[in-house]
Amino acid sequence: MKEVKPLHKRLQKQLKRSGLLQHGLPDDQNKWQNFLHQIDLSYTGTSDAQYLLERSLEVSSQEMRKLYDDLKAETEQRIEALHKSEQKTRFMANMSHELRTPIHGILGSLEIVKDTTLDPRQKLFVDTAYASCEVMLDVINNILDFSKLKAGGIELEIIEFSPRELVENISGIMSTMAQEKNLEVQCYIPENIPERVKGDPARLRQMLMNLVGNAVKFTERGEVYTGLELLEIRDDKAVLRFEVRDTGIGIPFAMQKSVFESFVQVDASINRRYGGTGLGLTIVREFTEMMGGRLGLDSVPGQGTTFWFEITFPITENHALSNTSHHLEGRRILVVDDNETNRRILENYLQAWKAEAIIVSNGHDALHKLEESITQQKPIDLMLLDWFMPQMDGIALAKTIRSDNRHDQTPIVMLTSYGISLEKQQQAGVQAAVTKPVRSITLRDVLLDTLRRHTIHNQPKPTPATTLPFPNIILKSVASIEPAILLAEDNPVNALIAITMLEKLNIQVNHVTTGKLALKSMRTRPYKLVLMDINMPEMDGYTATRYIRKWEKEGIFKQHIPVIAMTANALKGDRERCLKMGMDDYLAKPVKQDELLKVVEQWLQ
Amino acid sequence: MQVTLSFFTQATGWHKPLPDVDSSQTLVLIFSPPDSKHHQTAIEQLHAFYPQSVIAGCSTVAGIFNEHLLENALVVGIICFKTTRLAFSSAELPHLEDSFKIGKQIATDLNAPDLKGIFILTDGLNTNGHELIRGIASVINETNVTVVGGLASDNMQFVSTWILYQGQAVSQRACGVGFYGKDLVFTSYARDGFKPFGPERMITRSAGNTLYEIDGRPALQLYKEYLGEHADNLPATALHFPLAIWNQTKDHYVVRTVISVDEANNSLGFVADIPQGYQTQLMYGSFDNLLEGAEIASRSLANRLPPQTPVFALTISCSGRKLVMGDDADQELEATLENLPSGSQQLGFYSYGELAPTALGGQCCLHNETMTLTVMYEGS
Repeated sequence: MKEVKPLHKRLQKQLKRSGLLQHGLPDDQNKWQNFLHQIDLSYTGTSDAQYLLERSLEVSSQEMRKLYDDLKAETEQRIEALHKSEQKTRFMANMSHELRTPIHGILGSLEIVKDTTLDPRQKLFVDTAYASCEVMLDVINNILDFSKLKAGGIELEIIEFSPRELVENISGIMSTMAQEKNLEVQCYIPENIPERVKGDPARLRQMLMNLVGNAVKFTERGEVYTGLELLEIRDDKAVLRFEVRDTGIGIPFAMQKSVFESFVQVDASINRRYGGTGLGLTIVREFTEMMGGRLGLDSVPGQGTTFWFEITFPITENHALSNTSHHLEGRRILVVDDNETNRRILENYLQAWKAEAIIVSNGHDALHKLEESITQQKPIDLMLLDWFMPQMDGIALAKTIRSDNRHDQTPIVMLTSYGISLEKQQQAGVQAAVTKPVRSITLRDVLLDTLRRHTIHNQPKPTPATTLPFPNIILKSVASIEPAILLAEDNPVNALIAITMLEKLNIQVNHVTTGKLALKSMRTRPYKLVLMDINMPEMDGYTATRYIRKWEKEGIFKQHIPVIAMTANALKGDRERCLKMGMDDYLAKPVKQDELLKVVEQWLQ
Repeated sequence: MQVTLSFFTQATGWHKPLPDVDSSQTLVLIFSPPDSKHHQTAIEQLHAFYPQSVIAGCSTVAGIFNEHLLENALVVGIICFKTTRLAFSSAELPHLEDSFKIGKQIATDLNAPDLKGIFILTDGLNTNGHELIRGIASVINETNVTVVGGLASDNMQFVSTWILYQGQAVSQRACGVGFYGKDLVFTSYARDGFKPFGPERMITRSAGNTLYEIDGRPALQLYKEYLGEHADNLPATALHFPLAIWNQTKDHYVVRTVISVDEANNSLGFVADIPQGYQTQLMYGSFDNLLEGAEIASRSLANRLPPQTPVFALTISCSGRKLVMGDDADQELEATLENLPSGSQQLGFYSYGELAPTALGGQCCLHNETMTLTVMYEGS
């Protein structure tokens, strides 16, 4: 009715305008025609209006249709992109697992072999294999970390560590890497470095490995130096400067800013010639920034490059390393080395131990000093000779010294970058050898040991062990039900390594290969702890853990059994996921023996 | 106030004899067919007969004589005021860009404390109506002074339009008549009757009087989509489908008529500037709607008038409305007159742009497709 009213009103008006009556027949044909004309105008107008409203609806619905289609297409694209990124994350996790598992096998095996008695050549090969493996692991870590950095998924760890051990360890690997290139490898860590600080040693190690790796790669001759320096101590915090210096090809000035960017290499030919991912320096920069530090580089093309980063660490232990060094106090030690950096390092160490260092750069000067010691009646206690020197090398010098019976009792320690066979040592009359880069603790231990042996036996003694017993990995069969550890791990190599590493604890380890078997085994006997792999056939570690927690709740297990996850998935969130699934702790593969023992011991207590 | 309306045609001469009321308080309004040569004698006669009176006029497609729409006739109104004073000002308007300046100049000329209203006539093809009004508004306080008027038209050829100045038809010129005195009631109402429909859209690209894009889409293309089969006869049919341009607060809109289409640029041409960033809506006017618009305009005015007071209605309607309503255009003139108090008289013309406040006491605006009514009477 609402619509009718205005129409009705209009009709009345039209009647009036035409001079017609509402109730009555028209008396005049003209009036009637006028009325019909007005009605016609209204109809035309109304149908036009209707047509236009229909058009308007049509236009609007077309637009809405298009909007809907666009929105739908966009939503689908987004969902697809989401799927893809999920797939990528999954792929990264899988790749991480697939790559780390075999490396874990190699590293773990080598670590066990290293602990057995080896002759120096065997040791050299094992060390090389170990170092190579570490390098490979670093490359993989770089790639994984880079993809994680892109996704913003990296969290730093804060644990206690020894910066000295960290750098010495790096330089040890570095020397293995540098072996085939004839490079001098130097490492200097002053005595004043705090013993233990808090930070992320794994990342620091990765950063240093990246820098050292580059340094070795881009240096054809000369030396690669790794240094650690204490810049300042303030409020229980130490600012440490890590430095890696080489005498390599250097970086053009124009490129010095951009080398920290991803995939940037100085030029394309560099990549062809030297290889590399181009990710190393980016990761160093990102980690430095995450640790609130700063980094930089100084480089002269053709002369070499120094990369450095400075980071502030809270100090947890700062006692000086002097309890044993006093045994070297006052000892007169002759150092013969053609390399200036090396001489400086050795001098620093010896001074720190309060030994009296007599330092020369070649064999002739050394012989001269020896002569002087006789005439001045100030005998030399020990000689530290570099093997590779121009003109007269360390072996030749040692032989010359030994040929003089006045000096045949003075112990000689040979510095070498390559390892030296026992036979050669004996022939040259050398009592001990130290591989460069020299770690302070190692050098000090070797010097003390050599001096001690010299005073007790007065006779050089080669290292005796020649047999190479492999660790006994056959499990003891335990008849009585003693507390034991259950290891659920489907990969036999990983299992073997874990079991061997756990031998030190002297606890029985039972091994099963699936989550299901783990549960079965747990129902037959009590366990003090479960080491749980995640990816296993039949039933994975998560599911098995869920059952364990459920049974605990139901009283089937009388007490809480710690479950420690062991997984090669090193992506962010794995740890959280494990803890959320009811696990107590988490170990990322490859697991190092120390870490494994530490965690297991902690949970056994 | 004595009002005499008459018209002149060559064939029939004067419809009513000219009253002998020449004085400085007499206003003579003349609306002429565009080709003035057949009426030049009559115009000269008027000037001779009313030497003291204020004479204003312009070309138009059709004159309004009470309820009649007269083509080819000279439509004349002689209004002799009792107390109201009058003033006249005119200025050359050589370029569109001068519109603001000329508006300001005329307003300055006419401004006085007792100014009640201004009636503007200007060349319909060489004036930026919007700027002219802005010029006037820059001087006049529009809460006290009502500004109305129109842009002269021709026979829908858009070739030449003019105003009367010193007895001659002159293009590129504008003039204004000022009305003064406390007795005069001078009030106005504007109504188009077109109905906006469809969604409101944003004018995303325009320049001057050309509209390029609406909602980021080519304006002509969208316009055609809406018109459907009516698009076949563009631009002629465009008069039926103007655009409403809403103000920022969205309580008023002005109507803008499409007068040309540019297929190459996919754009629409208008008689007035199209402001970018404003909301617009397509409009549709049926005969009934337009008629209703005129009725509403006159009824709203009548409601504000004392009953039984005959008034003089100065009516300016859009030439576009005349086209849309065709042969029945005079019905809107009937509709306005029949709603005014009995004895009222109506005179006016069909224009190329109407000048009147959008709301009572509001600012004067340039309209298209609108019926504007201004009524005058002298109270006691």
